[in-house]
Amino acid sequence: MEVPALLCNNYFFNNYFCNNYLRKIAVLFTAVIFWCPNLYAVQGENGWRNAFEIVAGGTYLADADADKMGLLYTTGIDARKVFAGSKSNIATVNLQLDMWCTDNQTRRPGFFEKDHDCDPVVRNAFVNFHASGDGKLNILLGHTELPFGLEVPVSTSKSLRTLLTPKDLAMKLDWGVGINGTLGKFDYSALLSRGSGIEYRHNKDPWSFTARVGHSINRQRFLPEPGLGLSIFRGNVLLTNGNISERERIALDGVRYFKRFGVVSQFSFGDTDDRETWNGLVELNWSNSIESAVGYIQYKSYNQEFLDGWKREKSGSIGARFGQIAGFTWAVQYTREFSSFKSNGDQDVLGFQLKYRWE
Amino acid sequence: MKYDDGRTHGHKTPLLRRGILWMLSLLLLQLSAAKAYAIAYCAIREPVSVIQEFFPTYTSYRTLEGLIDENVRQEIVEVLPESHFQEFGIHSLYVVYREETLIGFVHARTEKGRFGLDEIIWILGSDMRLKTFKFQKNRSGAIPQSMLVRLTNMLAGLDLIRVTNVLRTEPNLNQRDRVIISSAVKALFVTKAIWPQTQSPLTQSSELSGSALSSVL
Repeated sequence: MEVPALLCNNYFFNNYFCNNYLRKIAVLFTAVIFWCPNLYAVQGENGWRNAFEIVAGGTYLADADADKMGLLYTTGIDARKVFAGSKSNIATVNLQLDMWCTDNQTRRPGFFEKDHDCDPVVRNAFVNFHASGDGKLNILLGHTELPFGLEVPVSTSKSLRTLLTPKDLAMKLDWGVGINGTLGKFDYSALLSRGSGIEYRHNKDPWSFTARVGHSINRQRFLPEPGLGLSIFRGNVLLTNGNISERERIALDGVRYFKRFGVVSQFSFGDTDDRETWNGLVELNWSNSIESAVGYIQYKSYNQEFLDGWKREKSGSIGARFGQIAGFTWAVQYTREFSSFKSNGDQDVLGFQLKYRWE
Repeated sequence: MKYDDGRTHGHKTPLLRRGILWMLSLLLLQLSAAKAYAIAYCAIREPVSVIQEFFPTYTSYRTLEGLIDENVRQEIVEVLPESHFQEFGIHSLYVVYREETLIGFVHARTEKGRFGLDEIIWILGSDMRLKTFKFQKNRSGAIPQSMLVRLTNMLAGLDLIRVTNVLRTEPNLNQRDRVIISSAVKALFVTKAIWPQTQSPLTQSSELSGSALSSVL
């Protein structure tokens, strides 16, 4: 009898380690625990920036019939390194490898196959080659965020607060190749990608092209630098249900501050499977002087013209994020969904999240 | 509870699973120092626009990464107690070249502003003296042009000792002046402390430790 089969006959192993869900967690953490000290040592020696994140979040659907409470746990590694020559940068590498576990989520990422499931997730995994050496032309290869709308200046990485992009493009990350750089006061980015989203899938031959030009920014932030951006998107996107969705978009986004208040907005126009579409997001936020406490209210509107007329999906959210302790943030959000394309009933959604990130 | 694959578990099993996940997570916490930014690394970009603006004849730049450890942090806090927690972590210095010649440095600092975080980009000459600065993100209200000119003229060409002297001796500094000049002190001090390889012979001769800086102040 093989050793694994022998172990699985044992009650303890059968219950706790022959379960696929637990096995994935155990393998991940064992690997990370062995890898973690090495990464930390390497960081000091050759300039790798390594961080480790743990996030736990939940959503409570107040008006759902059953399975009201769902939880999502994630943990992962975020590593970055700039490879530099004697006079110029050669390439920047960013690797974000996670394990995500869902527990009874009614609304969960499409790659989860069961109510209780764990999956390894590759977020960013790309190399950005500094082709010109002066920052004017870089060539990117790998798995990356699509350069569309507010996702470029705003960091919503693993946060409760989301911005409209997934509703527009049906994906946030994709495998592809692109160019990017800075010309004067403007950053540009263009990406030709697989069109299958977070997982690489090639059936039905999806594809997508995304591009954005906007005011130059120094870094993504939860509250970003002020500026404007213009984005375009075209593609045949492979949805998680296996269907192809043909989409075109043009979008304008902007960020502006007035003392303690900020206004973030994005409006997109185009087609979704030959249906005219326009979507809009407006957010008013408030922060303290070190932005460790941020409150926001959002209004989102998604609109499509079906055969029987325009249908609208509207929602309003109020939320807050706190980060007074270094590396530790927690967030709460209440959303009322006034209607959706499929139903006219309201839905209240309560969300909460704890996040720890350390380097 | 029955799962899709046919296995069944008692009611306590999901709790145990979560317990294992959290125990392993806490174990990971113990393996690393708890000094953190809450910013993902995909977020970090390079201030190429500023390099292009202030070094129009540049041909390339190179990124140097450096770790602000407890010692550097302590030295900064001694002289600038208002420094906030984000001083921890890895910081970047951008070394700017024209062909084979080093023509300057760029270093970005995030500062507590009046209504939110300000991001000030400091431009240094090849001799590590201040040239000028620019607000990449300004949440403290617009800066009058006259104030910008006055501060730029006050700081241009100064090294670390002279900038700290300005902070100590200049009589007519308002609160915002002090925030900006303190940022300049941090930019120069951090640059000296964590990238000593970038110091020219000229600047090395006036190299300064944290305690020496304290005595200046």
